Amino acid sequence: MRILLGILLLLSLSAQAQSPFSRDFWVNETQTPVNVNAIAEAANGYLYVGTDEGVYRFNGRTFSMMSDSIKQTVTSIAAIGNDVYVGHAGGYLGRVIGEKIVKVNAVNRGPGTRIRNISSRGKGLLWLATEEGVFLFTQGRYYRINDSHGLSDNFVYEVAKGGNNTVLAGTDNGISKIDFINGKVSIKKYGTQQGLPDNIVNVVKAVNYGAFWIGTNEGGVARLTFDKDKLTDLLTCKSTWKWGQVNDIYPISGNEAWAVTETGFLLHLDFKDSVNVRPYHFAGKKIRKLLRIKSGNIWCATNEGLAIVTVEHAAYTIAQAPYFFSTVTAMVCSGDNKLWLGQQRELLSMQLKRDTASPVREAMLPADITCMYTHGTGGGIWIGTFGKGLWHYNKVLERIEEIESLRDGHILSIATFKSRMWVASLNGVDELDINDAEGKMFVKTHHNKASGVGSDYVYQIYNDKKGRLWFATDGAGVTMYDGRKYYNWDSADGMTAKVVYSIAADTKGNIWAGTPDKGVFRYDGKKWEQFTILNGLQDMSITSVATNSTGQTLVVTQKGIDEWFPESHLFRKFNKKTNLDVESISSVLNCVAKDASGNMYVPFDKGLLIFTNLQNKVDLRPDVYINEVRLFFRPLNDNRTDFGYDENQLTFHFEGISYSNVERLHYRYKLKGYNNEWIHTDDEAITYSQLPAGKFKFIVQASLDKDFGAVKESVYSFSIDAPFWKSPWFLILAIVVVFGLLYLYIHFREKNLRKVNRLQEERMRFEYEHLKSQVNPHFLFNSLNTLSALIEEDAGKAVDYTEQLSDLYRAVLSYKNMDLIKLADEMEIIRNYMYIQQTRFGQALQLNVTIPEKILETKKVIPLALQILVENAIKHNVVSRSEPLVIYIYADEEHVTVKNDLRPKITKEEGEGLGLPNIQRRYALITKKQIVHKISDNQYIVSLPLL
Amino acid sequence: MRLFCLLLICLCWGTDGFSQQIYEVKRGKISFHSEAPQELISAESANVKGVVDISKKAFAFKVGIPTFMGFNSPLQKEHFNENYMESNIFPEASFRGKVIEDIDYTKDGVYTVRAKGKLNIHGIEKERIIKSEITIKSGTMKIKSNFTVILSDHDIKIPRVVSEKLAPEIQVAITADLKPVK
Repeated sequence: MRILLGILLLLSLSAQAQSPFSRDFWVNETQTPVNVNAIAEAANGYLYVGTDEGVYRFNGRTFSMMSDSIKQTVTSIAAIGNDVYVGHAGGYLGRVIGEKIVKVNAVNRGPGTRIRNISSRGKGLLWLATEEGVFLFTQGRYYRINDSHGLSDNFVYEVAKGGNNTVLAGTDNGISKIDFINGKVSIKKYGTQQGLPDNIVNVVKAVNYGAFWIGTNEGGVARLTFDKDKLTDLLTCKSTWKWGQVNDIYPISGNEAWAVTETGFLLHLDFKDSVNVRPYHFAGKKIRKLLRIKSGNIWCATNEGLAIVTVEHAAYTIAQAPYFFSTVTAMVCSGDNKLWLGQQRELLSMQLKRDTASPVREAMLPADITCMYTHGTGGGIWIGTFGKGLWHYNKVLERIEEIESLRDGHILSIATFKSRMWVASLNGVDELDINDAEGKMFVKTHHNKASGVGSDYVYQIYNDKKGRLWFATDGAGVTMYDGRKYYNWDSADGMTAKVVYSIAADTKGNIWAGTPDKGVFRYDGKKWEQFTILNGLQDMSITSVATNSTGQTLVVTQKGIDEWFPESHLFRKFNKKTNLDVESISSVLNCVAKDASGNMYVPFDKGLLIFTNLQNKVDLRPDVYINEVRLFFRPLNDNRTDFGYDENQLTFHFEGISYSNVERLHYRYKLKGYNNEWIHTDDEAITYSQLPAGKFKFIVQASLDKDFGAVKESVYSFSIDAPFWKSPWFLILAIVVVFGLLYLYIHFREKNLRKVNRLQEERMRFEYEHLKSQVNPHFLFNSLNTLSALIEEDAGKAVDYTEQLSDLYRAVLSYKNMDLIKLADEMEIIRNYMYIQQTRFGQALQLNVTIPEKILETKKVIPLALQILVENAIKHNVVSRSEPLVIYIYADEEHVTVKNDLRPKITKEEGEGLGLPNIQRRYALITKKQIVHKISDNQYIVSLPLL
Repeated sequence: MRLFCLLLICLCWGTDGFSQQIYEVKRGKISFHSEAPQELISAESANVKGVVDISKKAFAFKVGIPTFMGFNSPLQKEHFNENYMESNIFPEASFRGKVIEDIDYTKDGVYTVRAKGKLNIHGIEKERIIKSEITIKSGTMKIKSNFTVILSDHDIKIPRVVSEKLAPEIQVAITADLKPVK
């Protein structure tokens, strides 16, 4: 950011009576002159200033150099809609995008010489004036029109859009009217032979109804229109032109325009009845370009920088020596455009429209003049004095006459109301008949506190032209008299002041009252509204209020002058710091004058300040622009407005733009959707962190004061996404998954329970069957028979046998509840069982076990499964000494296998066996692994899976 | 300078056969003077070359910088050539462009015209409109013109120590007699 480093006030003592106020701006930070070639006001309110050094952007307070990839002298700038185009000395066309100037790309070759001017014709169509003809740029393609098409000269200064299909080009050889007829270019040339004042036409400007203003090198300006191809209505001023080469024109209408020249003149052109040029000279400057911005100021681009000129709304006149208007005590304008001044005891007059501002002494009064009054053009001047009564100045006889009935009065204000003259003095208000001869005017009615005025001290009486007479009183605030009775207001009506110095009515009929310590009050017919420093007033102590004919109200204070612009709802400030080189303003109450057309005059230390009626629309409200949005303090590269759930810290940089009052701007902002309260600030950035998800609207407004009554705003809408776990689809998915899992859990649990139940059931059945089989009478009988035989043969072995038998039963009982037992345990049962069986069968039954130790200890089987298989083998096969039954049990990592030769018994042993199906069922409840049983090579083989 | 020659050639070639349309400088003089508070400097050169093509309203003039004579001292001439004009790099100054006004070159008389074109001094080109007086007398042309050159416009730097001796604006005068190319 470059800081506005220096300001320089120009008060050139020129020959003109009225001079506009102007102020120079250094564009660069080194405070050196920079040649400004172009200037444009963008839709967002910024001024873009094209210089030899590049483009500067100005917000009313600071100039900032823009980065320009083209890096050439900038020769033209145009703000077209929301776009700003920049033309360069080398023929390159750039466009402002954000904070940068980016080259506009084209498919074919563009101009190779200085782009002197850019204008638009319709959307997306640019006209470039160059030194090699006119270039049309549309949809990325350049089309060139030059002398081979019939253009008067290839050196083109400016192009202006006329009617629908017409443009006018100003060249070194007159103007060319370029028409498009059925897509074909048709060019007509006009030069001095057709009546133009000069062939070098530097400036061409169109007025919206088809008229054109042109500016030339030697022949001044001209205004013209076309009737088809015929030049009509041509008005020139070549013979009287003495202001040099015209460099730019700003048309106000077909009859009125501003122009600037190479020799430093700003000219007001009035071509209404006759050619009338009002020049303002800026010595030593070359004024290149002219711009009137919406706040009513005129900017001049010069060879040194920028200058702002207040010419449209305020001017001044320097008092000629020996007069110093700081001692003026009363003023009035008569209908013949004469300003009457009371300077202490001296009555002076001066012509307002004359070129020189030298007052003429008209008369001397016996005491200081306090107020003056005149009505109509013919009558004389009524003069109130302090201590010497009321006087009348006869303009024809040039003589003053005393109104004897008010002799020695202290007169404060004079007004007329319904054929009566109302004169306020220190002892109330006296009513005189204006139809009486001056010498015979007697007091008809005396008004005072007792009769209803409210106070004996009345500072001002004001006739509002609506049949109401207003009194500014000391003690009773404002009093109004409608011809029948008096009205007063108090704090309930919003009028809190008891002392009112000054009163006036504006064009809308509002009454304005200035007070010594409470600012101004405005009465809209219902209520009084107070305006204070918070509304932009410079001072609460008001000496005068005055109104013009276009709605503005002037409030004069000791510190400066504030002018109220009702449409903009704000005061334009005038003081030493802003626009005017005003050291001091008269402290005399109600020392303002208004001429016949409504322009207002206020005396100041150097002369007179003139606040004119506004001819054109003015919007003083500051613009505000959001320049940058940062995410986590980093600039957003893309212009996105949609953020992720974790992109929740945003910083908004904004800037107020105002060229009217360059002091500090005030802002207020809110983030709609987050916090709907306005937050006031003087900062130009705000950071929101940890924003929740949602849709938001950041709104910022700028104001010159604390009053945000009718301000402009800038809006940035954006949204922050909800985190995915808060998004509806995720919630739905999560619910589905949770329910699914719950369902599956329940489902499997149910299944498991059923399985467990079945297992339980199976086991119970197995236990029952097993126990039944073990207490099988045959087994028991055989065992007991064996036992009994053993007891006789070998008592010791019998004991052993019994132990083995009991071990077997214990094992069966202890393992029956278990789902799985170690293979080693199962083999223990087998050994017990085989002991018992072998005791019975002897060598006829053999067991061959080959199981690795490791598998015995690590693998598991269903309890008693092997035992059942061994039992079945014994049960179903012949066991005899001649053919011993050999049972092989062997195992690998996966299976344990029981194998025996198949020698089925002829007679089946009784009793139900527990058999393979039981084992299979039990395995099925535990594992998917299959039991394999087969008969091969006359061998019965069963393989149980090891678990 | 190459451009200038090219232009000359183009002008001559392009109007071959209409040779009376082209006027060439037969005798010319260009002088300048600087009026600084402490010193008056003036110099002149007769080495002016130039052509005017009246059918195209175009013209081109040039002068060799080292051909300027008449300085107050040889040292001054050296400074002029080496320090200010850098005549080893920019040996010529030129002005080429077009005549704005339409005048009747066949009729004797004195005409005031504006010559618009690019003034190249010290290698820096400036767009200039220069008023000139053209006198036509029995088929010959006499051109007279006075104009000002602002040194800073052409990037001619004046050392601080001589700022009192050299004016920032130099007055230039040119007179030339031209005759049709036969």
